Amino acid sequence: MKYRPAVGRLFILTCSILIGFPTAARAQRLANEAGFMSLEPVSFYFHFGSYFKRLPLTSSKARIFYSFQSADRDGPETPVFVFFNGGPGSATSCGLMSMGTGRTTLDNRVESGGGTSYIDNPWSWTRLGHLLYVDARQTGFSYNLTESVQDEGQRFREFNAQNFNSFFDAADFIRVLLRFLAAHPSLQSRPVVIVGESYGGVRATAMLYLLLNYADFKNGRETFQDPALVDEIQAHWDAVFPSYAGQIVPPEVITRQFGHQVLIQPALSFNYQEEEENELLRRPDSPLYRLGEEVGVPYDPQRYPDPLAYVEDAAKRDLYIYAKPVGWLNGFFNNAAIQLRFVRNLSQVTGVDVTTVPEFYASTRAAAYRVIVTSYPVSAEIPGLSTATRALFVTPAVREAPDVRTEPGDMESAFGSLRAWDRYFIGTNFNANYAFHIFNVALVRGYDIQSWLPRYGRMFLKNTAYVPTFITNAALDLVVYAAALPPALARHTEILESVEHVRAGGEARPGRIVLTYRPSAFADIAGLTMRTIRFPIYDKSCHAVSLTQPQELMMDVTNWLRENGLSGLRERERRPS
Amino acid sequence: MISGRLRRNATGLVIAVPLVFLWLAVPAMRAVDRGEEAKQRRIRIDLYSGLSWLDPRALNQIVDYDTGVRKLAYDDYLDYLKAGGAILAWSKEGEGRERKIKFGVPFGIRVRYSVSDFLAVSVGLEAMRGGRDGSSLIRYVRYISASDINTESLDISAYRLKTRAYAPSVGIHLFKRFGSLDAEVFFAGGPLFAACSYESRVNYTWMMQSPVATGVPFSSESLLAQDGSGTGVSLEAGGRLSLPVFRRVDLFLEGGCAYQVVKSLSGEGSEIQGGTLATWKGTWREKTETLTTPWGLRTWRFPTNYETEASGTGDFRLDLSGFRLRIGVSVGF
Repeated sequence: MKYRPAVGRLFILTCSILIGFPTAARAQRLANEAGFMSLEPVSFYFHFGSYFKRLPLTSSKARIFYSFQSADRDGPETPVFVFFNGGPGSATSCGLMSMGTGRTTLDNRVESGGGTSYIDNPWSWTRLGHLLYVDARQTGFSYNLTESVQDEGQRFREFNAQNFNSFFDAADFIRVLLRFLAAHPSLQSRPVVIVGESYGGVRATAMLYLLLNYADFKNGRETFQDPALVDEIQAHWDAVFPSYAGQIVPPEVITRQFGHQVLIQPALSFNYQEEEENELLRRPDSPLYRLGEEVGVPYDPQRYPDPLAYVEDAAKRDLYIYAKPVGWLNGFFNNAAIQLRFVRNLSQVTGVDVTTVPEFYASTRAAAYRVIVTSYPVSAEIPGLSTATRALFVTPAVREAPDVRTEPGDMESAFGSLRAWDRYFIGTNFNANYAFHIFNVALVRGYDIQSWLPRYGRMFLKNTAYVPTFITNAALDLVVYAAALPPALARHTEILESVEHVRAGGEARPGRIVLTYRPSAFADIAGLTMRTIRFPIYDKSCHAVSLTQPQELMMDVTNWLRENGLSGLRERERRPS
Repeated sequence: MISGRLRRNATGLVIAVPLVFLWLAVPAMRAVDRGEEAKQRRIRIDLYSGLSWLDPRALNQIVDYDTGVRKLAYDDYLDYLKAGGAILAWSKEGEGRERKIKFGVPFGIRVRYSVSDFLAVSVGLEAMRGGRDGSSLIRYVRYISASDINTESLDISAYRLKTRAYAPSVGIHLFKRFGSLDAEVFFAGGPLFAACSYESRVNYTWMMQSPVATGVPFSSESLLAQDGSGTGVSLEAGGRLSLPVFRRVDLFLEGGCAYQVVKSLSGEGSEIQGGTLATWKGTWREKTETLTTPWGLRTWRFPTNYETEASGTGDFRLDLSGFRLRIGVSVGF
């Protein structure tokens, strides 16, 4: 009798080996996920060097939407790609997640608005690794929560620096990413490739800068101080780099995990980019002269001192792709935004039955809010914004009206009716964008966190000293005119001796930016001389390169990652996906 | 504590106090003859008040720091924005009323024992309070365009800088009689128990009027309070004139130079910023802080008891030394 328990355990163990092991192995395979990551209120501050004279802020609770698509083939070195769009205030769900990167993509065969369904994507980046798409705070499906949510004045105060500034925005993404990795131990130490589009270039820059120099965001050296974030980053390093547990991890070690960034038409040092773009577009070899011939309205810099105003107002072309009529790209974004509000489509895109996600249901979001007023003029003139950014607002964006129609299968019918200030989906949240640029007490108080300032260019150049970088050069995009990027970076003369745009090369889409650093560029980086950014040309592409040339982009990224140390890619790519 | 008006008239007070003394004393000199009986009153009790001229420079630096940072953060910043064309103009209404400590008011009691016709010894206790209270409302208005106006209000509801000191002392008094008038010099000394405190309450409101929106996007309330106390040394040398005004009662006027320094103070601090209360205990030291803004760089040195264990801090002394003028009555027994 006394041996029975042992015999029983042996029997169970044997059964587990014979039967259960394959079952367990299957269970360990990572499943697709979609849901919300809860972020607690965070206290942080800005300062100019004084503790007492700082600007302390506390963010609101947030539920950040994410979608995880597992890699076609998993291995110990399979990377995690983190995707985000820009704006600021624009959703990733109707951007990169819907356009040529995931397993399914918005049917883009129908121009000027796209198709009405999602189809399989033959150029899915799941061939390369796991994909994590994140909607920024108050964009896409992500929403904030607050007390007294019914008070319009309270909602007005919510859209301010405590929830919207380029550093805290990056901190949000780091929190979501690190918590996601911590919740998936098999992924926690994987290489992470940051993929940002447009303003996502600023976000990627701020994220990497925060990660690489994380201690300075608690010890008072940086303007932005977020002690809780630094503790969270340190805890992550303690898990990933145990030999450095409790110590400040140097950037060279951090890049073993965060060692690659892919930037699609990024804003990096946007003031300089805009100035250089205007200069380039006024030159005799500017593509605008050819465009003028094509549309029958000659381009004359004297008559049109603002080249972008000429493109949009006179030539009636889309700034995001000047070969197409005004509104072309936003037609795709808008269409994706509409399609994603149908439960069937969102479940298809994410690979998850989204009706199982509790945070979608109206009953769980009594304190949620997405907008200040229930209807607002999205086409209002916004003082102080650049022409390119203004274009984001005057184009026909998704109108998120409270009287949105209820159709069978849409979220309203599946999850219930929301309160007047809540929304299931917002493609571009103008309140959030305004909060970044206008309703921002940190800007009013003079902190240099405006995302188009040269500060971000300097941060990018320091990141690039450590992190191999891939930047798209979409020839038809005038919102971020990539040809202006090399001369814009060259204006950081305090850091760089020279910048060379190498257009020739053996690749199908050649292009490189060679940065030659000054010896004294960064006091804490010794021996820094030269870095090369991969800068392939996409001659048919709009701002959203993954929409117009998805195959080429995926192949170029694959090759570039392989050349830059992600060795696991070669083996996986040989196999059919 | 002393009011601003009194401070402004302090110079007049220096003249007025002796005159009052004489006005009271001269009639009394005629009426009261100091005789042998007075000599037998060896024990006297002095009660007095007066005025202390103070210059606690290290403590007062906090006022320079507060006003200087405000100038950098608002006046200089708005100048910078205007010079860069970011705003059309700006204006300012109101001024801060943060004031430095310059005076204190002492209250004291002293028991004297005349050892001989020219020598007396004493024990005494003096309490002194010095401080400044202020409140003010400052508005900065920036005109971004004709229809886009930002107003930032700083409602400094309380600004207090205070010191208090208790100085028990023993003294030696050498005196000589000139008719009814006693003149003396004295030396006194003893420990000094001193304290200082600082409190600043500011309500910040940013109001915007623009085509995009009108309202108050942001407001905040901040409080910073720090206390400190410690023990030091008090030494004083001075002179005194006494006149009999009644049979047992003399009126006296004293002037002296006091050395009163505390070299180590510690105490509590509290801060409310962004709705969060933080408290701490610490030793007061002088900190050097450089504010680096896109429009300028300024360095200040100021005292605090917050996180002063870090390197780069300097010693802090609460120096309450200065001239003392006292008027009082002395009752003989």
